[in-house]
Parts: sequence; C-alpha cells; structure tokens
Amino acid sequence: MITIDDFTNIRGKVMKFGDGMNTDIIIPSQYLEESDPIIYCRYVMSAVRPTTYDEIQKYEDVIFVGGKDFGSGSSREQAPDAIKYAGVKLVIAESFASIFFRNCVNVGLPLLEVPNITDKVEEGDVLLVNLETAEVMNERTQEVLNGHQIEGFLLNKIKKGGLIPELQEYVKLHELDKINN
Amino acid sequence: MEDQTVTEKILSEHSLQKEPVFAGDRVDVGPSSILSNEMLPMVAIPKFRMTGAKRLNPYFVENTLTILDHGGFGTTDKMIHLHQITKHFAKLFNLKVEPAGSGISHVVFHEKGYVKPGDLILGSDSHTVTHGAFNAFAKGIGGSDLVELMVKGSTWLDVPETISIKVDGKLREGVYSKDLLLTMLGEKTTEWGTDRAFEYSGDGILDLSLEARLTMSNMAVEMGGVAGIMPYDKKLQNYLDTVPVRGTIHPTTPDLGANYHERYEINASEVEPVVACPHSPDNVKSVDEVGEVELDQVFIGSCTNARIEDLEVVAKILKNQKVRTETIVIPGSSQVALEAVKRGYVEIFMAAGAFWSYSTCGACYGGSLGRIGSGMTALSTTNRNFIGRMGGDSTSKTYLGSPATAAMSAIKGKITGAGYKK
Repeated sequence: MITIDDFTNIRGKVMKFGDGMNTDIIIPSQYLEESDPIIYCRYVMSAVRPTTYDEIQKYEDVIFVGGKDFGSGSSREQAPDAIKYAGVKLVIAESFASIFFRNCVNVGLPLLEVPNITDKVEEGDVLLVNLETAEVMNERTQEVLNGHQIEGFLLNKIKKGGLIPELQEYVKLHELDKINN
Repeated sequence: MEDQTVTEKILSEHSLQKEPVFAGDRVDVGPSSILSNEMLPMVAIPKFRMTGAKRLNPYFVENTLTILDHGGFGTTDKMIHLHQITKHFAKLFNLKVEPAGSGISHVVFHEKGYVKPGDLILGSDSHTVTHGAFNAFAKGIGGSDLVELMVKGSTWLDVPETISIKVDGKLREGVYSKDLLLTMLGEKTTEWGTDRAFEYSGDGILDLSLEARLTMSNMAVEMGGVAGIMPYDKKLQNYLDTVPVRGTIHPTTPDLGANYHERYEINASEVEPVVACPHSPDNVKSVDEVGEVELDQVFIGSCTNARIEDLEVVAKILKNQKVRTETIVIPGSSQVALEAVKRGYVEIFMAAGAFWSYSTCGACYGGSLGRIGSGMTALSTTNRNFIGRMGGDSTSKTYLGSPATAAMSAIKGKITGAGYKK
C-alpha cells in the first residue's frame, strides 16, 4: 500500500483544470520579461483562474490535475518553473505535450500521466501518489488509479531537482568552473 | 541494416555513438546548429550561471546563432535590459547575435545558411520545427536544454516514431498551404503528433514552393509533432544556392521498408480556405462556414507567413484597395522587408492604409506591435490563437488564416475568403 515516507510519495489537494492548458495559459508572455520565477510564478494559470497563486498558498501541498494535451504550445520553460515556484508539488494530466514534458523533467517538477483522471478526481480531493509505481489513490473515493510509469532515467533527473544540479556536477568533474584549462 | 525513416537516419548520423538508431532508442547528439533567442537572457544565462561554468562549450559557440526576435526593438525597459544582457554575454564569449529588429529567428536562420538537408537543428523555440522544410530534423527545446548545450555541446534525444503525411493533388487557386495544414489540424487535433515526428511527401508537397512548405513545417508543432520534415528537391536546392550554407548537404530520403507509426493521406485539391477559430488552432472551419465575423484588427506576419511569397499574395489582393480594418504587416526579416520595398509591395500596403513595420515576432505571441485588447477580434496569419496569446484576455478572439484570407478580410472588415468559391 502507498505510504508517505519517501520522495516518491506525494500527498496533496487537487486543483483541477480542463483540457488544452497550453503554456500561454500557464504563464502568459507579458510576465516573461521578468527572469526570476519567484516573481512571475505569481501569475501562474491566471488566464483561466486568476486566484490560482493565492489558492496554492492556502494549502500545505497542491497537486494540479489537468486533461488532455497539458502544456502544449510554446517551448517556454517558464511554464513548469511557474508551477513549481508557485508551490505545486506535482502535475497529473491525461496527456502532456512533448516539450512541456521534457521541460518539467529539466526543472525537477514531478509529473504523471493518468488516463481519465479528470473523470475520477474532483476539485479539492486529496490524492496520495507513488511516483515510482505511478499509482494514485483518491482518499475520498479510496479508488486507486494507475498512471503511466515514468522510466528511471527521467525519474532520476526529477529526483535530483532537474538538469541544473546534474550540470553542476558535470561542471565540477570537467573543471569547467576554472578559467584556464 | 534495417530500413529507416528520415528521422532515424538523421538522428543516427548525428548520434555521438555513431550507430544506427531506431524509434524508441535514446541517443546522445551533437546538433549541426543551434538557434537561440530571448530564451538566452530570460532563462539560459541565469541557469548557466547557476551551473558554475566559466566557459562556453566551443562547439556551442561555433554553431549557435542567437536572433533577438521576440522582444521587438526598444519596446520596454525590461526588454531593452534583456537585449543588453545578451549582447554583453555574447561579447564575453564570442557568440553570434542578430540584433532586435533584424528579423524573426525562423526566417533569419535559413537566410544566414544555418540549416541544410540532413541537419539536426535544436532551438529554444517551439517553432524551430520550421527548419524541417530544409529536409532537416529540427526540434524545439527548453531553456535548460539550451544550458546543457552551452556546457556540454551535446544533449540526449528520444528517437521518435514517425507519422507519414502524403499529399496528392494540387491546391486550387485561392487555397494555400496554410489552409492545407489547418485542414489536417482540424481533423487530427493538436495531440496528433505528441512525441512523434512528421515526414511529408507526395506530389502535392513537391508542387508547393519552399516558402509554402516552411508554413507547413512551422505548424507541425501545432499538430503536436516534434519535427516536420520535407523532402529534398530542386526547389530546395535552388534556394540553398542563394545562401551561404555551412558545410556539406546530406539530402535524406526514407528507405522503402521504413517503419511508420501511421500513414496519413490527403488530397490537396479538396482543400478549401479555412480559418482556425478561437481558442485553439485545431478548431477549424471553412471560411464559408464561419459566418459573419467582424474584425477589429488584421495581423499579417510571423514565422508562419511573413516571407516574400506571403507578402506577394497580400500585395496582389491589396493593390488599389483600401483596408476597412486596422491592418499591420510585419515582414519576416530585414531581407524580406528590403525585397518587399524593391518590388513595390510596401507602397501597395501603405496606399491601402495598412501599417508597415520593422521585422519582429510582434503580437503573434503578445509581445509588441499589434497586441489586441479585451473584447477585440483579430484575424492573424500566425500559428496559435490560445486565450490571451495575442494580448487581451478570455474575451479577446483570434482567428488564424492564410495571408490571402487575411488580406481579403482586411478589405471587407470581416472574415472573407480570397477568390475560391465552392
């Protein structure tokens, strides 16, 4: 059974969104002139739900649940960064657009594909999620949903916190932090 | 060796392991060239600093072109600052930068010879897929991926399955490759190509100009795809002969027994002028079906439809006419702009009452010139019509269409097809 005792287990309250949550919705372009995600994350999902950021701050842990083609459109990495820095612990969707999926891995934002999740989960439900097994338990209905397992290569990157920590190790190993080599 | 798709061949060629790869394999690659834009100062430079690296990979320096297209020229204090950061960084590390106002990256990149048949192109913009029209595998990446290339000069890719799109027949007069692409998108949706590449083929494709193919490769990403590869032919070679191509070309064709995930066929002669209705590019209706839609603005521009052939179509329609709706024409690059001046198109646009601008992405993504406001309706030759994409809010509406539809609609003040009638 799923327990909350390591990184791969996430427990959080659901904020539910529909199909087609593209990156222009996740973080509109007018906020991208600001490079610091701590600042622009304030506007996450504001195009469809202006109170999103404030709502996230009210709960201990939040899980975004979306429908089909989550993150389609622009390659802007600020989309997963906005979600992550706003305090969201995990994004579950029925399907993800290709570039967005990779960007989530690169910024260390856990994500999971679960077919038909929007039929099985309501706004405010509490989910218990095992990222390794891709099992999602809805505490209200006690139903366990099976998502698509994230392969180890990608899960390890997410666990490390994304690509930048990995590159920090690479830079040290190859002494790219030294001017003369 | 097993038969391969174009995608598999190009990724095999550029794999660091130098071994044949197939769909489902994961491969370390060194791209032929790398496209960057304002994602460099917005995301990549800060994250590059976080890695602790003090040097850029020489391969990255050699093969990257940064084109400041999104922010416009001198638009806001923050954007000017980002452009200054870019120039400073570029000077420090000897990177090549095309300044703000010089053009849209996906036009300038091929004008400068950065893409050729057989190339693997990675770019920090989802519309990097545009360069698939050069018989190359071109894919959009995120800011951290760009940082990996800055540090290591290489990255990893999953070799995608491929969907074959075979186009037979010729487009009728007044119907354009934008209509063809939108028609497929309407049928197959924005999820069609998720994690997959598209390879175009057929007489209907060979019949199209390179510019018309660029429009279709450009919007491969709207069909969900990671690439949109066109065949190599004489038309492509004719263009390559006019630009300073870097290195040797490797025209690439699929093997007969190549394994495709899906084989889709469409007859171009059955396509009608269409528009994508708010708020998704796959919400497609024929121009006749869409009904009476009054417009507040017409936007002609972007990496999808702002090359000289697009402007030629617009000029033919606007000649000796007046626009009834505010219309902005933004050329794809300074080179395109100069050509439009030489050919007298700019005089036609301005005599018709349209606005003419320097080259930039403009309001396509809500950046600058031609943003729309609350409650406004626009027809645009761009690629996305998501909520708020061109500015405004959920009450702002954008319809997407061909340059011909845009020009005719500008004259009529409402959405109107150009020429073709059932």
